[in-house]
Amino acid sequence: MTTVVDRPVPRTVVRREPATPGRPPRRTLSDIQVVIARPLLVIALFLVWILVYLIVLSPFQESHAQHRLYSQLRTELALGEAPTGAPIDAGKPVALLSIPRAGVKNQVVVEGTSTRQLQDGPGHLRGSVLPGQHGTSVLLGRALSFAAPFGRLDRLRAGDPIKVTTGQGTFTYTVADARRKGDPVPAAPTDAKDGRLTLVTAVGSGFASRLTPSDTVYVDATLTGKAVGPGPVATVVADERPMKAHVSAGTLAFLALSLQLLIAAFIGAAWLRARWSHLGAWIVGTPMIVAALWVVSSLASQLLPNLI
Amino acid sequence: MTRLRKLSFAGAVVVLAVSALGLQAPGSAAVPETSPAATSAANLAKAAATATTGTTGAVTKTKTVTREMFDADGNSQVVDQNKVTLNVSATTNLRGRQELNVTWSGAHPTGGLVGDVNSAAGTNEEYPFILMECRGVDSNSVATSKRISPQTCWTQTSSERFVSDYNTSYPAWRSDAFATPDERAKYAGQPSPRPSACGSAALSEHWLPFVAEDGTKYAGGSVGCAGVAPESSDISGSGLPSNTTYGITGTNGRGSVQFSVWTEDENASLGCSSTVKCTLVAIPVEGVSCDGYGTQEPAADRPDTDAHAAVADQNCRAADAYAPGANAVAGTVSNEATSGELWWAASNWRNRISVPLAFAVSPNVCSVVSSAKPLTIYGSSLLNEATAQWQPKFCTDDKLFPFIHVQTADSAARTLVQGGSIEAAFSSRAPDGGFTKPVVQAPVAMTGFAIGYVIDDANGQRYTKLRLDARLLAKLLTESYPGDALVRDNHAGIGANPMTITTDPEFIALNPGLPQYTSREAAAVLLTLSSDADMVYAMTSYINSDPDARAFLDGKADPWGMVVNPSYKGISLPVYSWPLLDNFTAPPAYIQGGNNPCYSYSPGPWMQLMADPTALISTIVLNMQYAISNVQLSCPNGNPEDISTLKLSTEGRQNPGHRFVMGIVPLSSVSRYGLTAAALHAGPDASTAGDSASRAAAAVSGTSYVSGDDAGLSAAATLLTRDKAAKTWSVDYDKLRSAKGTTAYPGTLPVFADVPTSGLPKKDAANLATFLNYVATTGQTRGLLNGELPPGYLPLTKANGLADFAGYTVRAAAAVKAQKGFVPSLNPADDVVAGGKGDGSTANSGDGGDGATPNAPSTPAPGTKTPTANAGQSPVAVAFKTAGDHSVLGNVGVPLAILLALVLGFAGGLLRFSGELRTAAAAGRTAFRRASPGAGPGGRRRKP
Repeated sequence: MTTVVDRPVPRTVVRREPATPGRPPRRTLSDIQVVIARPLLVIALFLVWILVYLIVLSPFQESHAQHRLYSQLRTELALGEAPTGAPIDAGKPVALLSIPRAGVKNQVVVEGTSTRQLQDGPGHLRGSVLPGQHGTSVLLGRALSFAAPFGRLDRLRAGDPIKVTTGQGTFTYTVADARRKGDPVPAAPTDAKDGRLTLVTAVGSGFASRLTPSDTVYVDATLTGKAVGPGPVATVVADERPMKAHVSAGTLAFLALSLQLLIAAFIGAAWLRARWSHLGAWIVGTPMIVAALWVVSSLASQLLPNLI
Repeated sequence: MTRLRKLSFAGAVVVLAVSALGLQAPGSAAVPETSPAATSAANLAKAAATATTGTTGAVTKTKTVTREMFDADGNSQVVDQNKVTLNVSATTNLRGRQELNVTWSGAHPTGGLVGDVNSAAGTNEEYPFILMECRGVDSNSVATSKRISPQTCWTQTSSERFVSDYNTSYPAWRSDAFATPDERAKYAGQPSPRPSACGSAALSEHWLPFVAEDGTKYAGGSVGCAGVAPESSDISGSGLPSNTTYGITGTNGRGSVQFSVWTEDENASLGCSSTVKCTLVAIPVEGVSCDGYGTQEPAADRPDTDAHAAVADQNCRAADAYAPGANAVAGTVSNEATSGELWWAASNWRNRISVPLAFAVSPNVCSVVSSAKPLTIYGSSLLNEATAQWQPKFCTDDKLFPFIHVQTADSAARTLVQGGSIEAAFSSRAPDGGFTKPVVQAPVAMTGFAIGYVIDDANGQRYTKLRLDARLLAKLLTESYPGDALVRDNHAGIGANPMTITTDPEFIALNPGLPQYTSREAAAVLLTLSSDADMVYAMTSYINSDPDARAFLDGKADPWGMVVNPSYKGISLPVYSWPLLDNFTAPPAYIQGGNNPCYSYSPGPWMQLMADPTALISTIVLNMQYAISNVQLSCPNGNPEDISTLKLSTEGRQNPGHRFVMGIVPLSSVSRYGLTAAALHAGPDASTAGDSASRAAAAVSGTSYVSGDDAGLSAAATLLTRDKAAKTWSVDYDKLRSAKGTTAYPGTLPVFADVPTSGLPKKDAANLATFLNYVATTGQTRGLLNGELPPGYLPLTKANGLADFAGYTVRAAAAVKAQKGFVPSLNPADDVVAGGKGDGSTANSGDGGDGATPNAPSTPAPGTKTPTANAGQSPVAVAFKTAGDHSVLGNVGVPLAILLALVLGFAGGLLRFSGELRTAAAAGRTAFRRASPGAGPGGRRRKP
């Protein structure tokens, strides 16, 4: 007891001068600049993301869907179960399309032409007959995003072949002509053995025309050989017409949900960065945010016109 | 502070994402540019110019037909001669599946009669009166390809075009005095080389190919071995029933038949349309004019020996197998020379009577994919025939706009209008409780439902005076007739009832002299809709308002002791679709007995299979046109060993002479498809005494049974109640039951266009206003031209006392165009009194209705042409221009995004890193100063 030396309790020192003496930090002006600069950079980054998604990333999504559709169509063709007339569920594969000159190689055509279906590949317009059947069959395809299956239609020349395989056989069409707004529509095929294929996509004009797909263009091709009898035809849905967006309550609801996911991802990343480590937050947060952003972009792009 | 910044970073991204969504392409609104060629309207007018509005172009033609015989020396002698008069009820403005009444007199009486005159078996009749639809005109002044010939005449089966003989090389047709030598050859018309699928040839064969509209030649042959047109079929019951008719001439030389004409919509190979001319060809078969010795052909083509010539002559002059009027007997071979088999033989063909047919422009002229987006109006199938005539007018007149009428249940269409999913609907009632948003219900047509039927009387002739009352309808709908012995013996509730309606004393009192069937399911039911419809609501309201019928439904036996099916006892009416409540299933003994293997395989409620309501009104109309029974209890070819054959099917087409089907149809389809419709009991109940004598007396006097003709509709229209709250008219069945209703057709139903007066896009609102204006004025002109009102609808005109209906529609059009949420009152004066308010006066003077005052509905609506204005111009094909769509977003989206990203990125980067830049610049300057003068800036970043 006596050996223990009592150590004095440290006294609380009350300082009365300013906590940081001297002039305020040099970066005050800079701080305001940073506050303005951040949103600008974020907007710029966001725009870059949109462009990167539409032009670079969405083709992967399309290619993934094509793989799935190809194997589905392959099975159905082998089993003789490929559809030959309405009703066909939207998004189901209906035909295999090859246009050598336009770089279209074994693209699977899906039923329906809303923005959702055209994310998977070229779409068959409901209200027209299927390819190979008597009448006019209309296919729509994107010109810019989602691998732009119809982006190179401008290379087509009269006489180029178009090959389509459906459950009713393989049909070869020959490109006849392209037309734009105001050009006369060729008379409907009357002869029971005639068929026409009309490819619809969007093209721009002038400088950087490939990046400005603004007007519809129709490429007509006539069937060489004999058409098969037309199957039942579904009615045209308004938002499946060219250049229409697909705005449905369902899409918007999913979009709202996916935006919440995105917000959650951001909050989570921010929280991790504050509470954990910067490096850790980047490693964990980036994939989360990119994944959520991808989902949001995929849904939001359904609100863009279907041919872009 | 750091954390807050991070969060605001995240928030900014989300806010941006949301705002980016707002960018979605408003610029993609397609401006349709459908501009039919200037004369296209004339096309429509031309189609009708051959007939005055309202007439149908009935035609009567007379021709003397002969049969001659040539002897071995070439001397001819007329052995038979008849002066035939042919009458066709309509030849102009024809539409697909329209029924023509064809009557004739003076023809040779027919022998060897068959049950179904539309079947290929009719070729075996002797002296039939054949009617066929052939492509081309019967004139020598047109090119051969546009002329009729047997090759362009439609037959459903290949056997009607191919004759082969295994017994003789000299059948009657080879002795035809008027045929060319080629036609008299042993294998006339055989394709060369002979198709391998056709096997080896018989002793003699005659091939008659069919030439389709596109020029394809279908050689036919035995069972179609060398190819037939896609529409033809050797199996009966698939596709449309044949229209080729082997008509029966009675022993008095007279006959009549209904002939159904086809357009390219029904039969593309035949291909008749408003531009491809066709002809109704009547061939009174008189027999081949015999020239067995070949005196009328070159010597080289004659029979090689005298013996052969004698055989040929004998075959051709063979005696008839049947006496006139005799029925066909199995095993008896009819005389080939006078049978329908050789309808194409030159001797018969030269006797033909040709009646040119002129078809109306079909609504499918509108179905070009790249045309403007049509305005879609959903709802009532009661308006089908009217919209079928209005549609081509709208899509070919460049001052109007294309629209389509999609048939849906009226109630569903009203709900969709209420919910804003669709822009307009046709329906016949106000929704229960009214619309909760401003919607006008503008009358567009006065029509109704009808009970269509095909019933043959005891003589096998079509009965046309059917009378029905509400209790009989209730009995049919409640499945209270057993129909067959199985139900009678096993169904507890209805076993004691009359077997079918034909044995019901009440029915007999109203319709005396009809054959009485004691076992016939089709005579025990009324074919109705399984889907919702206002016409079913109207029919059940009519039943419900009848005290007798209501008492019967509540369990009171009728005066003859018939009781309601217990499953339906006390049913609450009215209903939008008739429920199937009887779950009676055949007893196990029947199922195991194997009488009906299909039923044994999948037993179901028997009475429901008997009633078998259909989802589509078009099915009922088709069944009533062709007398097809929908009772689903047949088991054709049912083989218990093969379950794929065990499918219950409908009974199918009934044989003429023994037909009995009834079903609910739109009134407008009655005249369109040549149906017969029942007169319905109207006014106060004549049979309150209940005994059969008083009912029979009322029936005979006929005053209280009313048909759905103009008089009946117009009397009923005046009894419609003005529903001031709902601002529309409704049918008051109590009024129809009063003494005032004795001349009113109780099936009457108005059809309204339900259009919201707020929230529609401006362009669609203007189009709908134009539509309402059109149908209230020009569209109420009765006629068969496109743009006019077909029969079956009572025009809403002053002459019919319906001016206030049309007036209301014109005022409604103004309100629709204004889109200010105003719904006009039924009485214009109410709006003026209530008004002074901007809404009312705007709506009444709005430009949607300019010129058309409520009381002058005959004023043409703006932007509509009267069809006669363009009459006389030559028709041209309708040419379309590519519509094309434009997207502003597509045009500027990507460049703008790139530009914006660059500018913002640059600006943001500059601000964010300005400090670092300054430091770097300073460092650069220092370095520059230190360096010897003359050196460059060193590639450092500089502030611009």
